[in-house]
Amino acid sequence: MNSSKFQEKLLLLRLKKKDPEAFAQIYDLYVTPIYRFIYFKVATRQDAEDLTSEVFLKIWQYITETDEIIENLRALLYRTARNLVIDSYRQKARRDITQDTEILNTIQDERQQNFLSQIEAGFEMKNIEKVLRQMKDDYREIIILRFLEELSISEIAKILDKSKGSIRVILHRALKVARQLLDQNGK
Amino acid sequence: MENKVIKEIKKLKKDVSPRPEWVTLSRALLLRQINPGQEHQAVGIGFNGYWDLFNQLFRQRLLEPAVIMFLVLGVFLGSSLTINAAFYSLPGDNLYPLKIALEKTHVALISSQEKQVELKIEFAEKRMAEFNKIVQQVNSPAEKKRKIEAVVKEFKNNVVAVNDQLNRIKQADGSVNNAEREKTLRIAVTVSSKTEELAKSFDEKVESLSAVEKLEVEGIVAEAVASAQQTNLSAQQLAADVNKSIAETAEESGVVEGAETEALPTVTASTSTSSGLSSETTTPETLIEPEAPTGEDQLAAPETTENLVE
Repeated sequence: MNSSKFQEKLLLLRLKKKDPEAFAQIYDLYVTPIYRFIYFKVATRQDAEDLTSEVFLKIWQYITETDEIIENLRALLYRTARNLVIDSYRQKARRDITQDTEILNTIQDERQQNFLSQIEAGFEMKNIEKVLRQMKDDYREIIILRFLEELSISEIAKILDKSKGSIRVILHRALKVARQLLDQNGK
Repeated sequence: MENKVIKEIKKLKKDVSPRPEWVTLSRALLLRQINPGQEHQAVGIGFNGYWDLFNQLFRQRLLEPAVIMFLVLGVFLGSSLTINAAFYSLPGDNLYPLKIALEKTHVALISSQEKQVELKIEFAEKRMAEFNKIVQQVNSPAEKKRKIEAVVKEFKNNVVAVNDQLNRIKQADGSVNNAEREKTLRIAVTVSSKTEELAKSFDEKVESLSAVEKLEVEGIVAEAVASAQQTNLSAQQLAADVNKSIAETAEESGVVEGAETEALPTVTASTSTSSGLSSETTTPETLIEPEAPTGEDQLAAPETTENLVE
């Protein structure tokens, strides 16, 4: 049991008692990683900022209302962020089409279009960032969580609701794809 | 190559971060949203909060078999070490009362009277060894006196306990057959010889002290020796009584000639194995001497014992 885990539990207890200071501390601790996590999933900085704020608001509502014991605050934050991103794409998709079966394809299409429009607009982007944005969502989020946010495999497994074994397999494949894409972009 | 990819990804940490002004603005906005009328204030966690925290953090861990095993081992090892340390403690040490308590528990756990007496004698011998250690190891005269007093007191307690036990055996006297009587006789013989040895060696030990030290502890040592001699006398008395009843039983059953010679060699043999006594102090003849000393003669006991032996 390390001190950060202890601190996190303490903050959770205070948050449950609707302590705004505890909320502020949690915000200060996690705003940057959550923003980064969302940033690679959405097209614009504006979207990332809006969604990040929404994550913290949702967390406040959830923790102060639920009776469940929260084991891992960080995992909860990432899971909430992930769900909010998916919801935002679903909402956008609903605006355009009504066919539910096509939602996922549309999400993918929309993000590709956004990405292309950013490039066209001369949006400055590093090579590796381009590579990450070109990757499948499953691969990208695992790479970000593991190497950018430096989470453990078991924490990633909790966030993505998968087994540790499958996380390792996906991570391996994701790295392979990233390497190939980096090679291609380099050429 | 993979390492290169990972390195590149890690570099992004610096490049991708939220705008500081947005972070501050969003923080303020959120705080206003969650706490519009400033109705919530900072709260203390309180005892219940910390208890919940303990439960969440440790309860599950405490129930893990490995942790339980570790705790059991820890307690076991810890107590073993303490008992071991107590075993080597001397009077006046912090752990000495524990040593005495452990000895008492040891005695209480044994049901056989014979073994109990043997143990109590053994403990008295231990006190003697402790006395030796104190004489050799402790330099400060004041401390030496205090420790000697403590050890002699404890020795006296041990010897008195043996005496009490003998009296109990005597009073109970439920020995209806020869086998039971032989057992009692064996106990009496052991106690008699051991207490005599203890009294003698105590005297010798005191002789080895310096004149000043001797003067200081003389009174208490004399009391202890007297207790040992008293126990010795009780033991001899008991042995004589038992021998007498064995002889009477033999007479009644018509084997007058054989009884004494049959019963006593057994006693001698078992006595010499259980207590390692020299034959001159515990010959059966000594024990069946009808003129056994009484309690009034206790101060002149060493001479009485010598007479009995001779």
